[in-house]
Amino acid sequence: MRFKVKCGLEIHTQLKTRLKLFSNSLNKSQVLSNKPNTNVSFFDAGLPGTQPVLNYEPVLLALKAAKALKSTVSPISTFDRKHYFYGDQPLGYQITQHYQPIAKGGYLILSSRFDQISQNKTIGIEQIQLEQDTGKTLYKDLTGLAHVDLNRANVPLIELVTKPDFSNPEEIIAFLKQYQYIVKFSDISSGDLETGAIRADVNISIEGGERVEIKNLPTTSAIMHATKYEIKRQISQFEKTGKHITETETRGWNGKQTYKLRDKENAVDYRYMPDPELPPLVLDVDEIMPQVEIEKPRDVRLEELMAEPYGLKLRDAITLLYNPEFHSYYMELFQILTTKKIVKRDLISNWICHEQVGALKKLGRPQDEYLPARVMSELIFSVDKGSIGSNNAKLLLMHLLDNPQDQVLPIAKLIKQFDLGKTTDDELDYAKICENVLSQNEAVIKEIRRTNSQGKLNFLVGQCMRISRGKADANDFRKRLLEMITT
Amino acid sequence: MFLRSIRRLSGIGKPFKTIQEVEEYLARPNWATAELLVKAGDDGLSREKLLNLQQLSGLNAESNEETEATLLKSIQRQLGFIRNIEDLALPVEGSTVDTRLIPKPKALVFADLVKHAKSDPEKGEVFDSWNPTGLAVDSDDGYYVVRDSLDKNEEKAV
Repeated sequence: MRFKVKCGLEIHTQLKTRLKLFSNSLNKSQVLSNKPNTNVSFFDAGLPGTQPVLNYEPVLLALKAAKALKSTVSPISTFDRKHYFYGDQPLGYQITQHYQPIAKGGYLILSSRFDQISQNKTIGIEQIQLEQDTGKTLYKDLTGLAHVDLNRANVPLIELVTKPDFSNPEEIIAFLKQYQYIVKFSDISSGDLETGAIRADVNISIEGGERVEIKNLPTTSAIMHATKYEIKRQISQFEKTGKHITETETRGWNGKQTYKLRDKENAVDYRYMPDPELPPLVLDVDEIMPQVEIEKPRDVRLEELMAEPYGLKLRDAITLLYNPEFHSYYMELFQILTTKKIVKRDLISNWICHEQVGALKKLGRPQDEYLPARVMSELIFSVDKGSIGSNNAKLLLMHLLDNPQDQVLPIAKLIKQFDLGKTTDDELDYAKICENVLSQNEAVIKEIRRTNSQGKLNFLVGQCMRISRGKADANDFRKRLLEMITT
Repeated sequence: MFLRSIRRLSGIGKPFKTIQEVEEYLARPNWATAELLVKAGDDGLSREKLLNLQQLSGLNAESNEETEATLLKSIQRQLGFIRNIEDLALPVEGSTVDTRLIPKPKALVFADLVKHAKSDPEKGEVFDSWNPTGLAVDSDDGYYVVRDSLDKNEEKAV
């Protein structure tokens, strides 16, 4: 039997603001080394007599998110109290926007081209609301005592609620990645799941059953695995008992399975009430929204990188898109090399996105310690004009990364100094090397003639390169070998 | 309820002759807030619901039957009051805005949001002017200390 699965997301996103939501204390939620309780105002600590006053920077960031998600901004939104008791929430309630959120509706399109899903899908947005974060409670042992840090209390969040439009975990991950792009590049949030800047809860139900909410999923991997597990669990329960889940419940994830935390609270349990201390937020939406600036949509930027003049492959375009510094480095090199009229354009992306990244990895160096653009461009240019073979260029790249003092020397001088230059036909007898290699590999020749195996041909090219000590051009050997084998 | 009261006030009766008569009449309210605490047809509030509410509010749920009965009765009356209020016919538009104690402010434009984006001097708070754990009865290494057990770690709402 095939079950129709429905999933929805609730995403809490910490906003990148200078101050907290309703006080003058600093929002240092992304500074992990921050000492506990050092960014706490009277209001954050819930001292009697204090009152909230809304800061406008979080409003601007919420409006950016609304614009990027094509949500309709409300001319009037209001703040409400959601009551629940917890040590790290000293007010006894969270200020949120339950009745009239700042924005409603909207959508995000997942693309089969860029999101590794089978077909395009539109995910509807229910609403976006502004609200406070809570403090943090740390349980260190089993003594029954807990440590509370209020630095995070009253940090501004937006809660985004999607419609239950997801059919599988892959779509959820695709949505989250695109959402992360939006909040990161429109400067709304740092957008990291791992640091808690984004926290996602997943709602899952199979057709005919009530929904189950899984809370506190800290990584995309946890979201993927917990969702898969929960879908299987609900289907398996129905198959065994013939009964659907009849009551909404909240579950946790322990890395292997979901487990029941509690029955899900409803609106009555939280005793929502309008916050009498906060006036409605009234916005001249028509005047404001055209002036709210956001980054171009992800798909537009990817298309730009994959089109002329860059012509990048999707994988490389994605790498650049999510690494702004690397993106700038690439663009600087691209500018230098295209001015030099480099012939093989693919060399640029290959040497920047693959060879150099791979070399840094081999050397165990940070991924952002790349060669200065001038040096790297000279090296790529030397490969393009044939002054150095690609194998020897890789050796030189490793040397330069490992010996920064040599980065000031011209590449041509280093090629000469280390005798890495490509030899010409006059200096190296290509034909003789090929004949030698072929004479010792008759079985391989037969196999190539029979199956046209590229792998076997590469083996022979490798043998030739070994004899020439990497100073020859592998493509020259390939052409000659192929000619000799097929004639 | 309010509307009914207004109807009572505006009913046709003996005309007032002096302003004193009017004032005397208004000084004798013919309805009481106590009426709002009674609502017919209330569905019963279960003991389980009471325990749940106590837990959500961080209140001690270890009470005897007599206390529970008193609490149940009290909550029942409060619920009745809310239902009476809910029954009032209010204009749909703007009714939720009117529940705030503060009047509806004028609409903000983009310049307002940008101008006050970074700080609001009207708050009058001085950053770093106090020691947040200085007034706490119990603190440890800069943290507030709360008597709380590990199992609640998994019951957080946000």
